[in-house]
Amino acid sequence: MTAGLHPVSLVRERVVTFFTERGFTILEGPEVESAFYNFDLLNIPANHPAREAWDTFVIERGPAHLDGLGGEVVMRTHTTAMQGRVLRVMKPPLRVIVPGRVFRNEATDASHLAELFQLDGFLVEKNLSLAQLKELLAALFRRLVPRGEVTFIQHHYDFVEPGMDVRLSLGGRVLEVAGSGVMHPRVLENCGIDPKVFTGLAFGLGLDRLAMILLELPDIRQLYSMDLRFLKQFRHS
Amino acid sequence: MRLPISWLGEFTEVKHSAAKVASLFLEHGFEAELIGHDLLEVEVTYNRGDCLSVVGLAREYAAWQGRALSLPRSAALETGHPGAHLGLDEELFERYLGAEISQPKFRLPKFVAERLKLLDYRPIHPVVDVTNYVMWETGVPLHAFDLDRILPRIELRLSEPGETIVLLDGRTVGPPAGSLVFAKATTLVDLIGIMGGELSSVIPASHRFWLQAGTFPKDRIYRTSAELRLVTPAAFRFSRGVDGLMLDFALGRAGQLLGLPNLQIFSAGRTVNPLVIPLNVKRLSAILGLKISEETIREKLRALGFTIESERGSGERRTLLVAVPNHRQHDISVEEDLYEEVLRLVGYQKLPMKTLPKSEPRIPERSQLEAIVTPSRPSLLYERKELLRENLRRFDFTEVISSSFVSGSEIGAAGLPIHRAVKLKAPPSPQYGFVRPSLLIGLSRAIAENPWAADVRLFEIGRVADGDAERETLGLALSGDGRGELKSLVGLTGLHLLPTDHPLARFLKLRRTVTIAELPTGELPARLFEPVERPGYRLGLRRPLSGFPPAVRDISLVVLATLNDEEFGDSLYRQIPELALVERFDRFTSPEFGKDRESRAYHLVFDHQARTLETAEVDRIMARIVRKLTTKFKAVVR
Repeated sequence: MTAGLHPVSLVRERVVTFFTERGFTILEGPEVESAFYNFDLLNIPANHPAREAWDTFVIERGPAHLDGLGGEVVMRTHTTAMQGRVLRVMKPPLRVIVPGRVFRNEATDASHLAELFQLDGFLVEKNLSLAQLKELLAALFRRLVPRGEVTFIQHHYDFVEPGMDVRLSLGGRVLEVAGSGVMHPRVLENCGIDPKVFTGLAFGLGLDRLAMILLELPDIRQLYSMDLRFLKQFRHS
Repeated sequence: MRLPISWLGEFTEVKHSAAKVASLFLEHGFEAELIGHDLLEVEVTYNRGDCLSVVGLAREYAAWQGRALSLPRSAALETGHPGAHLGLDEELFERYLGAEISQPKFRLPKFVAERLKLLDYRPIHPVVDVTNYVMWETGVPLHAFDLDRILPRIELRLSEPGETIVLLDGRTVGPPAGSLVFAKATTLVDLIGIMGGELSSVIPASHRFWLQAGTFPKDRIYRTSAELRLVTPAAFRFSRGVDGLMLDFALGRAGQLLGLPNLQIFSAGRTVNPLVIPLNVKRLSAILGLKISEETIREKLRALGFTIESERGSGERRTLLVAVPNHRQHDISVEEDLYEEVLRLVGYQKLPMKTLPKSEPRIPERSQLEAIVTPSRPSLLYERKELLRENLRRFDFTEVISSSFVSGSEIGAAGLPIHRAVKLKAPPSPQYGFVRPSLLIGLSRAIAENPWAADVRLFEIGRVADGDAERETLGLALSGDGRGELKSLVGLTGLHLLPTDHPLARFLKLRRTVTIAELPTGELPARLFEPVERPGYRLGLRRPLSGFPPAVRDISLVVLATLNDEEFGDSLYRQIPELALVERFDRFTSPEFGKDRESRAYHLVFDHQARTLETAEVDRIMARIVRKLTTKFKAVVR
């Protein structure tokens, strides 16, 4: 038996296990997405520097089923696109994680991919606080990268307020490993949820970045090598 | 945003070292890097247009220290200029200030040229240089016209379809209809907020100037700038919001630097009433999870330029009415924005860590799953997929992840209907032309990438899309004719044999037959979901991937039947650095081998990190291996 599972699958499974232990439901969604769920619902308006900040692959001719929503069709730029889909159907209290492939229309190099795997998560309940998000993410990275040290700083994302970045210090380097924050009231309202009654916490992390750290890969593109000399190294132990 | 620290020091006392200033910026939400001994590169996110200037960043830095800004000297402004040469449509601007300067020559202070050099601006003309300097310093893009070239009159209006303008860089562009422009009679002379026109620009012979500072509808400027793909520093700032209350200082500063202690200015327009946001004091602490007193909230907001207009209520209903300063009107709109401002100054590191209450995962109903992804079909539940992966691995298939994008040529070669494929609008290269309608192409590419491997067995679980829908699919690929095996695993549907003369095989230079099976994950047989335990997996890279082709040698050994292949492999990997992979591909017993012994055959795959190994080298390595096998493992090489 020499077959292996893909390292991204193995990393994803570790992350997923952490969250299912804490009551998160796993849901997955489409990669070809409407701009409505990918941007508009998430408080990223069109014709604005906010939307331009995303390197988006735009679809010219897409699956007929997305036409009903109007607007552009894109390759989703983040798994956050599922927030609106889920929260318009399942009502709080709710804890969800969404693993999946996302797409960035930018030049690839040793630390950038055009096709990457993310894991988004969100919780909508009463009486949640940013301090709980801090603990959750600190615990996650403590489990995944025990020798790393996390710090938390402010960062702006349109769909959370306050926004918070998680940085990991490891071997003299500092890497951004996750973005997070309190869900923006407009996002909750767009899902028919009253932000004065419920609070949302949200986070997103790159599984490839994590794999790169755990495998000590010099070049992130190697992660998607189809060479068996790479793939077969990830066998059961 | 390049920030010379000494320039910062003109607006507020800088007590820290350059490195400390950089780390303070980082703590407060701005990535900053020291790029020179006095120079910072500060990343300003698009929501903070107010920080695209030395003043803006100084205002932030001062706020963190609890200090106020002090503005350097600027010319005294006196309103009274009639501005008779301007026709300003009230709807098309917010505030407009202008000054007439009649002087042919100027002597600028030395630091202007020095600082412009640090910012990579080359000197053009003193008046133009000052507009660049002041823009960088205040965030207000000033514009200088040659006054004689715009007389008798210029009109502020929207452009018509088909109009063009010759810009001051010599290019002619056609702005989209509805762009903000200045026109002299029927000729466009200025693309407002973006770039001036050649016909009105300052030239060496200019001796009378019209210097303008204005704020205009930013959405129009953004749209024109984006459609023309013309993102000048001025357009960049206008698109993100310029502070109308900074216009006076900017114009006065320009006058000051040009050696004019007084300016008679034309002034028009209005300022916006500040937005007032109610802030519930208790809710701020609850949302953050950190108790912050009303006193601290007031202190931090005041430091950032917010004013507490009034307060009402008490206890749970205690509310402050917070007026947003003009320079923050573009990024502060809801109460939660204020929470972030307070936390930013208090410090994110002060946030405690609180544990979430325990909870069990909710199990969604089928109808909910369908509604969530409608009209796509739901994918397999994640846990089912993990079970599928483990089952496939036990059938000796290795997981691969291929690109979601394919070229039109590959779709055609694969015989798939291209008119139904999902097409990208402006793909960066042909390889990104379409979203994959099938896993066939990616799996075939994967087999083509392993020509040295005797036996390739791969699987991929991924999403494919066509004109009707997107669906999650399982693909299995075998080198050689694997129809029998795949049929027994998944049945006959979705089975393809790709002989070497198949168009796709030729396109990908596949020099052997490939068999592929592809099925939606929702239609897979139960035998692929046997309840098996997931063992531990190695999540570590034993050996970096070489970019050079390997050499493969096979070896047959008679060994003890108890020999553990994994330990055997590990031992060889440790001793032979050129060994990339050891794979057993056969084993059998026979009385001739003796009791407790059996024959095993292995593929040995060798490569080198920096070059292709020569045959003679591989021979020598094999000899070393044979010696080790005989001594250490008491193996008999056949």
